[in-house]
Amino acid sequence: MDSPTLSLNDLPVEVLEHIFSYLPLSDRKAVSLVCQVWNEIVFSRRFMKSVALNVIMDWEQSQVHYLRASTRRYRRVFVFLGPETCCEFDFTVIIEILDLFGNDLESFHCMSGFTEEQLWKVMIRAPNLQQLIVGVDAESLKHERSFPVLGRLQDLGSLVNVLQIRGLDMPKLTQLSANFTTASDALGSIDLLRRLTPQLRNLELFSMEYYFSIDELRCPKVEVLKLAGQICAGNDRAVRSFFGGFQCLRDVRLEFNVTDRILDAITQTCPRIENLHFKSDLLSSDTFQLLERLKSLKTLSIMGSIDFRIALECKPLNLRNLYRLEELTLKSIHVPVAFMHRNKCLKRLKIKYFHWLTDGDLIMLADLYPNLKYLELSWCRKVSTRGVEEFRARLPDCVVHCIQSRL
Amino acid sequence: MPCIQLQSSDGEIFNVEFEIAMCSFTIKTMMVDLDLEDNCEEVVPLTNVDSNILRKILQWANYHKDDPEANPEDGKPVDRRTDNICEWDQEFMKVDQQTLYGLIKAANYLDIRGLMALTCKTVANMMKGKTEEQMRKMFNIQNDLTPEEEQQIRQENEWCEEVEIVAD
Repeated sequence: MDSPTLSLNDLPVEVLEHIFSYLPLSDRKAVSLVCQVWNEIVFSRRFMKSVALNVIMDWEQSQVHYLRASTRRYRRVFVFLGPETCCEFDFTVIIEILDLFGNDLESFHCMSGFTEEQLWKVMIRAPNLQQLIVGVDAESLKHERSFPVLGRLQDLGSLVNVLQIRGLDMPKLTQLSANFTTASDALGSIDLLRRLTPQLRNLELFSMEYYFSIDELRCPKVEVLKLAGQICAGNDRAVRSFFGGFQCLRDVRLEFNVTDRILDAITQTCPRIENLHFKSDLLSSDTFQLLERLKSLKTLSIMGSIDFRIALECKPLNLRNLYRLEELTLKSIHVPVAFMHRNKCLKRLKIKYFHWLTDGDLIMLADLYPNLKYLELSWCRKVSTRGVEEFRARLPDCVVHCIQSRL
Repeated sequence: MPCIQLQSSDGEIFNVEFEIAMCSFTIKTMMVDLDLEDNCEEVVPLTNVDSNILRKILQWANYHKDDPEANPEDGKPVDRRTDNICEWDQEFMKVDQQTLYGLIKAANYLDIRGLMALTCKTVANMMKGKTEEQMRKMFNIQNDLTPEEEQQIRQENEWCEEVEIVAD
């Protein structure tokens, strides 16, 4: 039989690509040092999607020559530079790198403060950019200028001050995250924000203080929403009107103290929410009644008071009517297990900082949630190994994960 | 059970159940193109696959004939797991490197996606955690990189970091 010895390198390139696609970057780096062909394949365009080039700015200029000699087409460049304004020297290095890889560049991060002039120079060199995370020195935004690239961005990071560029138009933008730390940031951006939110699917807003009324924004297409800081500090009517503007909201994360009045507005206007995460340091029986309105709820996570000594006594935790609830996370909340209700669909339960939870409570949980597949106990100090064993005996299919408890 | 006949490169003829042969997209297309679906007499020549390899492949295909249709998640960059090989497959993959390459080459030519994933994962597992030197030794590959090229690669590798890909 004429079967000459086969070697891996006799196989078609696409087969080697297929093999390498199962390797994490650490192994792909070793592969690149094996031989020329492997190096070419493993850093070919397809693999560059998951590779970021980290440019650390204390480099000597001599190191830039390696990048000049590079055959790799980097698609993501992260520049590590202090948050202060980008100096001329650093900026020339950034420009040189952009001139080398600009056309392939899809993602560019640099947390240093750019002037409008610098931002423009960055953008004209990277016409195919999809993700941009940079700081912009707001004081430099004086004159109008066209930023054609911004129209193509799909994922804009925290780019607050760019929002202040007048006449900015970003028809493809679907994700936005903005942090307002000063009143001028917020007030300067509100016009554009008002114009952009109707097209967004993903919105993240953080506001250090109460700078503007949230009902100025309309978000009919937003599916994923995250709010933090004092963004909802205005009057209840504004909050109700803001949430009344959503049509597709599914995921909500509220990283501030949510009162029953806010929860009332949200649950009434957006009853189709599937995933809800919020903080509350005063849970009352009303709170849980309000949650019952969310008939589509799949995951619920409630963070209580940070101070565990403040027991948040509350009666109900009525999950009976939440037929779709699969995952429940409770952190630092004092909910006596005796007041919890049966729920047959619950699959995952995470309990954190329940210092009062006893072995007896654990057994009751097994009875309340008979179809549990995962139970996580973090810092539940009164629970003993025997309690966990007894729980396992009742629900043998459930994985029990204990973190830092004294077992 | 309707059968078709497959002929290996060294002339051996295999009587194969239709259903099993269909795991190969190449054979499937060939059957449709040549309009052989009702004609069991015809012999399909597979000029790139010898009898040893073909026998192994049919053994694999027979075991997996009732598997659900290929998962659409397969092949996406997200699916990089290589620890999800079932026991039968692990046992099946205990072959020498020549057979393994022969299987890969044939799976690629015959376009059998499940077998392609299995064999490529197996090679990837052989590579995981190895240094470049260990890989060269294991796969018998000559180092054709100049010291300058090597230095260039090492330097660039140092600045590269993995990023999670968010779905497009």
